Amino acid sequence: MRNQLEVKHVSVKYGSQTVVDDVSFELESGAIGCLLGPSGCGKTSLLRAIAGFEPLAEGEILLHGRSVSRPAQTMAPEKRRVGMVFQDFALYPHLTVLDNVAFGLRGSSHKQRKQRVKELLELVGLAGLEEKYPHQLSGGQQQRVALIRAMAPRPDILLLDEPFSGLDVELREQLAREVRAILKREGVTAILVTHDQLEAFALADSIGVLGAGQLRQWDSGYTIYHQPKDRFVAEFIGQGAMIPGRVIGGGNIDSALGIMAGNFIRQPDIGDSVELLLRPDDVVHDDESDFKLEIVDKVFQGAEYLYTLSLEEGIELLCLVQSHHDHEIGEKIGVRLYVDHVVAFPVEVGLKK
Amino acid sequence: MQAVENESAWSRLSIRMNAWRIGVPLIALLLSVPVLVVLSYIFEPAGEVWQHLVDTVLQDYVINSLLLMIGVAVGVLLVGVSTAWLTSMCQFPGRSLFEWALLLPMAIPAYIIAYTYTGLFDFAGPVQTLLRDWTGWGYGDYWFPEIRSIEGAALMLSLVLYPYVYLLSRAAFLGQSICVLDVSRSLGNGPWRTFFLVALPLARPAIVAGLSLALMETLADYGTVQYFGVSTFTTGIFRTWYGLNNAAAAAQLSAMLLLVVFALIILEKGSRRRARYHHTTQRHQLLTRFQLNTRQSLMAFLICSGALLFGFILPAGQLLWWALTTAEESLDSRFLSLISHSLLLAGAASLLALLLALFLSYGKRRRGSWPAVIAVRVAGMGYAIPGTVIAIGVMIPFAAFDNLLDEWMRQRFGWSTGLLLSGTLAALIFAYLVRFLAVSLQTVEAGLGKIRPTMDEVARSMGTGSGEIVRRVHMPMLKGSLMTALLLVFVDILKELPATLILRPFNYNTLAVRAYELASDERLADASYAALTIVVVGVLPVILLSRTITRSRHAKST
Repeated sequence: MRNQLEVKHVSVKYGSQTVVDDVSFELESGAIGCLLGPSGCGKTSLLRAIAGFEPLAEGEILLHGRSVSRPAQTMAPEKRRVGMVFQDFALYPHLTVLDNVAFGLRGSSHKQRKQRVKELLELVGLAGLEEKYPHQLSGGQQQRVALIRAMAPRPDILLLDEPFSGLDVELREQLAREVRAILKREGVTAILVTHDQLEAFALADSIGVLGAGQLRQWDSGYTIYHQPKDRFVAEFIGQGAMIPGRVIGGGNIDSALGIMAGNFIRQPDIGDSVELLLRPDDVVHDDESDFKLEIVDKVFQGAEYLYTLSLEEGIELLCLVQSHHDHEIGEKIGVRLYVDHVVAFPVEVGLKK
Repeated sequence: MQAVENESAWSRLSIRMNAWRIGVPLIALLLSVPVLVVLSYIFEPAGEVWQHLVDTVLQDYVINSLLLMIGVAVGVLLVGVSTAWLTSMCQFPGRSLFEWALLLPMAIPAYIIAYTYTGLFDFAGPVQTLLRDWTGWGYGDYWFPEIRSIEGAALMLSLVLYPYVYLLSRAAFLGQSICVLDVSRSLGNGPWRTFFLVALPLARPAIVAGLSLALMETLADYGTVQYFGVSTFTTGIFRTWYGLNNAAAAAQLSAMLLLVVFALIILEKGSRRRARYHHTTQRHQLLTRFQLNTRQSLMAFLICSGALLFGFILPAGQLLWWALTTAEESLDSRFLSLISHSLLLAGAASLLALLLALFLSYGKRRRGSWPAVIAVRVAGMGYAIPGTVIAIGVMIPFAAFDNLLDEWMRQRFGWSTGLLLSGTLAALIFAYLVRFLAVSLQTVEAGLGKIRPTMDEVARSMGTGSGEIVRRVHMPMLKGSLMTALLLVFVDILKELPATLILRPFNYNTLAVRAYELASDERLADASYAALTIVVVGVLPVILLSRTITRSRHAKST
């Protein structure tokens, strides 16, 4: 399938400061990508570069096969056929819902415009609100209006800048799923920027994790969670414990958990010190198991308990257990490891813990 | 192909950017010329006339100006803070009416309220006549407070300037979370202690900001003190300029006055900055006002209605009475020419101020670099500077320019250009711009601030060019602010007296000037038509303000 968006070795600089550093990725037509990272990682700058609001210092951006950004050559945003949804929605307070959504529709007759708006409002379940003004809508409704306003002119790509962070937490997840369904039904290619991994998992086909301006990994949500490429990704995504170990022959690792096969970021030498990443769902509670560990802390999370288990002095494991299994702190419970390959990171001196 | 198109778009954009880059600081520089000229006289060696002033009257100017400021400060604080507290925090009959009606005195310029009170309370006025009729006393049999005194001037100024303190402290009281007051009550402090321990200290920066605005107006006042015969800086500048014919000494007096004004500006700006930190919470629960009992309600009602009565109803009523009784003689073609002069002048200047304000604030918005920000700040400073000072600061360089040009033209081409700029409407309009651009600028900037950058970006991403964004997004959203800016400056210019007096072309009369002249000739009743017109037009911005107040109240109750 044809690539709708190609980002090739792109760098963005503010003065002498590099905020996006040599980033490359591609997005197929109809796919939803996500730029995920902590604040200040450069994700918004990258999105704005794709939209045409930031010039490139290096690299090239291609939209639908045509080059839109190169150093010293930035096609104006209004010529790119992109749609944008902002965190603050940026709805026009002096226009009705109808006029807001129809804002970017041009060249078609009044009747056609009205038809398109009606169609979109039905798509997001807001039919009948045409004549309302933005301030008369709830946050979720405003968000949907902002979304279909951006979709109305059928852009080549839809860019969503933290579109849910202005909303209540309960609303976010529901809307993220709804938005995904809408984008998929319309076959829209989209890029979302967020710092919220659950939002990214709920919405995106592929996720790019950014740290300090660099693209650390571009993969599916599952792969990023279970096979992070570096410690930054491992620590930013999800929870987990790092267990020290040592590489022995045959790609195996010896640690306090016994000997197991490892997935290595780069090929280690025998005898190297490594750290193993164990996610809470890698450790399964099993009363039958002989492998018993003491509970040192527990957090109730509704459907589950997150237990912190002591493996040995100073080394702890996390374990996610159905909340029917209510154990006391100090109790010892049986666990089993449910992993095929553990991810192992080489121990580097001076690395942030 | 694509690249070429982009290049030309960029170069077009950069030309437009340059218009702003050069234009914004240039305008700021031009507008600061009067202030810079006046300030430059600080370093001028003191002349003979200056020495004469120092030896004779300067002490009076300083002491009188100071006394006046103290009197006004006490007056506006008492009236402004108490009415603000009552209308925002207490519940009593008539409260919601007073909430906006207490702003009405703003519509009356201080010199006009001075005329009406003189008419009311002078020896021949209705009050003393009534008193004599009742008691049978004759001239000299009784003591009656002299209204034409420094105390009277302080009272007049307080009556029309307290709304500054009222407005800002009211906003501060409403901005305080009711929680901080509740906490104080729950810790065992009664309502009075809570007011003095919590509410007042929290509102202090806002109150000080309002006070400094009122004091700036006090220092700028010319009409009232002149009419009451109180020698202050402004009357001193006039006398030195016209009586002693000494520009340098007038400018030196102006420079001294300016230094005091700068101190007030710093006080005001600093207080406003601090006021931001004194807002304790962003979210407020619904305000529950103290329910006053009958006696307290009566007191509250008397305080608020007193301010309204003496600040607006009484003087406006007196003007109306005079106007009705002199309608036949006053309503003639001369009055019509006054109106057309005033409309023309205020209309042209306010429109020009609006255009400049739009240019400057767009410049600041598009290139938020520090030269633009500073330039806009400088351009907005004039509002604090007394009209008298600005007039001197315009007169000196304009006359110098005229003389220079005249001389050059005579030497070069053998004919005289005469006075090209001084004494023309251009000079007067320029002075108005220096003084009132800030009003326009503030309103336009506030309006522009509501158009978030993302709104532009969304429009651009949907294929909308700059011109179209301005037409379809900015103009509809700015319309209200632009109208407000126009109206506010228009009314301010209509009321302006001292700069108009000094700079107007020979025999060019406006409503304010005519009212001043007639009142100076003790023809108070004849001055009423011009004065009443100014007051009626002056009520318009008050209505606008009160509408924002009512709207904010609605927003709070939803």
